Amino acid sequence: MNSITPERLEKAYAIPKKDEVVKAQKLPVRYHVENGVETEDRPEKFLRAMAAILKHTNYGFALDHFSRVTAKCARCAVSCPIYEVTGKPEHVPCYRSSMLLDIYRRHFTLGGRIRARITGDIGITDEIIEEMAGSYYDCTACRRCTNACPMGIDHGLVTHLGRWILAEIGIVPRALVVSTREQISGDTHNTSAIPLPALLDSLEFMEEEMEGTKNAPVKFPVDQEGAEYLFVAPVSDYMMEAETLMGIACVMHATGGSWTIGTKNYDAINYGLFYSDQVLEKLVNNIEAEAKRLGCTKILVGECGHASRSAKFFLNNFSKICHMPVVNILEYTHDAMKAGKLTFDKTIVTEKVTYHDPCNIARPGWVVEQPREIIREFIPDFVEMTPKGRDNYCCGGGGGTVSIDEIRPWRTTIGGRKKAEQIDKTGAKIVIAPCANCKKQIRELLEDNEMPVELVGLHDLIYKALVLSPDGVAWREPEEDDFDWMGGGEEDFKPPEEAKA
Amino acid sequence: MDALIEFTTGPLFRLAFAICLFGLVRVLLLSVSDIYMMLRRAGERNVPWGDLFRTTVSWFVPVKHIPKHRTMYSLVSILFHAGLILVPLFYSSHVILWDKNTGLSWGFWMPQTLAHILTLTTIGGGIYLLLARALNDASRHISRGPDYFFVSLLLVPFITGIFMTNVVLAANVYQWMMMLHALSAVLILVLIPFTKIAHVALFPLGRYIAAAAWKFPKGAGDKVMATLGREKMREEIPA
Ligand code: SF4
Repeated sequence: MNSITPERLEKAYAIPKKDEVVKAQKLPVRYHVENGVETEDRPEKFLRAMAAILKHTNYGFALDHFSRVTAKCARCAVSCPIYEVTGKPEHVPCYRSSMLLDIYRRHFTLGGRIRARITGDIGITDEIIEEMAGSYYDCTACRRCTNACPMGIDHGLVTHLGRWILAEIGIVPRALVVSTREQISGDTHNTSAIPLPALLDSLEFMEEEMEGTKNAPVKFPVDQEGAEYLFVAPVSDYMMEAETLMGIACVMHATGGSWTIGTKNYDAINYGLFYSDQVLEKLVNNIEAEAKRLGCTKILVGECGHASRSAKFFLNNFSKICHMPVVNILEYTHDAMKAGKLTFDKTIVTEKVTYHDPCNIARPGWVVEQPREIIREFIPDFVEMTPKGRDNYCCGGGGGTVSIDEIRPWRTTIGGRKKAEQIDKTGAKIVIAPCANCKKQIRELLEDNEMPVELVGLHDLIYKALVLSPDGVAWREPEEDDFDWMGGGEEDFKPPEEAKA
Repeated sequence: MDALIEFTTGPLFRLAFAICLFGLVRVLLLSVSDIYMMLRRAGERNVPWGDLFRTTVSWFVPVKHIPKHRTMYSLVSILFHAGLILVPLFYSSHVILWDKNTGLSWGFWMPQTLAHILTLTTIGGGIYLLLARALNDASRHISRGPDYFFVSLLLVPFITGIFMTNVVLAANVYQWMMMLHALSAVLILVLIPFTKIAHVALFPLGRYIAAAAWKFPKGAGDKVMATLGREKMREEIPA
């Protein structure tokens, strides 16, 4: 594992934008924003946006309570993976939250306004906004610090709100908006702009592949009306994580599960969770609409932390029609295994394996034990990271920051440092991360830190070890050129950003 | 002077206690109604009550939390709080005072030695907490004036208390110390509901408030956009 050299640090902190751009946008932050961000009267605009949001949402109650009880004990500091690496006071979670809490107290409470009269405190300034713009995207909203706060202050919630207010005044990473724009008003309705024919192509290829390796007619059902589960995966999986999807299909095949992929909406990604409740709501409504269209009664989300969380905790929140259970694929597979529906070949995965808990599903204690039980079922050499489960460390790409490519040096030097150290300590040769975002981040982390460890999804390994064919053989080596389509296919699909350019 | 002390430990104390009690009941009720309001406005109201209750309770007896972060600071903080809560309530003279002023009679008081030990740990603890706050980079950066002020203020009745119970120390200053002791206690009582010390009552609600705040009202985003006078989402406008 590479150490943090001064050169790496310098790169991590560097702002990858031209000085003119930084000056024109008045944004000394590491991520790009879209052109046309307004710089005039920012403080007033910020306060107006904040007032509007507080008026129509519940955040005000939380800010009020948090600002009343915050004890400033700094226990959160030593629980934040960013602060632990940088040791910079501005990375203390409580400090990050205090920026917004101070603004709340100063501008939105009577006591604050009176105090300001006396002390002459002008409150929010351009500088504070610039600082928040950087700070709220240094934070990965992993909510680890919340576990350490005696008062129960949820710094992840404050970051979540801070980002929304900033987005309302035009400050939001371009990478996030480009993706959600394609979902909301693009032709393909998915973040990677993958057109339907390409999706169908890739499904067909995967089916052929599985026919060969598993000797079983495993299918990806498409637009099956009346299926029990509508299946949504992070759409990038169809291009990058074929084995995860094939593993899922094999589990569905083995269990005889009634499921379908919908052609009108096949993307589970919801970056609204990371910067705007309005976007979050639109996107979960789209998933619900697709389920309704096909008459599905449940939603099954593939290997993805934030997508599972946004569906599970917000679908019914924003539901237009009715309440619908949301199931993460790890829960489904776990239940199937417990019911004795899955047979594994325990000799397939022999390397030492460790497991990374995606924050969005582990922090609430939702998906913690299930994957471990599955792993223990067919992987003999399993080793845990410490800490783990609800108290795990973020991979360093949480809160949507993994999709911001320009901050990769930051993510792999600072944000993911704790995770890299954890992985290194286990001595594992394979790390499992059942989340599209964690996968991308940890891959980059391993690469930039030159760690000889392989990153996979849990269903990638299930794909190999699950016995489907009557002859009891779990795995046949695929032909040499089986995966050519994946490399070749990529040229057809430009990321929406380039496609639009 | 005696009359003044009499007044402070009598009517003034009763007034301060009433302000403290009603003030705390008020913030508590307001916070509970906040939680109710939040859930009413939100589309989905499933709150993991059991889980939140368990976590909240675990912070009352924070054995499992101590060793994780800032161990020494957390330990001292618990000792500090123990004295803060127990001595004002159960020290012998205080028990009499409570009985006389409010009719609240506990029927017992703590051994003198324990009271002395707790007083010393609270003073020592308070000083340690202040120093740790000032000397630790992280907490110094987030602390403001009130964070130092309230801890210091809380120490005043304890320090004066030591003077009063020690014959040698109290020789010439007993009455002054008594005055300072009673006045600072009264001041603290009045300040409790209006300052950060309100966490004595609000502390158990934090996790519920946060959980309720994660429940979002339906359509809020569109309303925000309308309030801000925008017609389209950014995501609906081609870049
Ligand atoms: S949410 Fe995670 S990254 Fe953000 S301040 Fe807390 S621990 Fe640090």
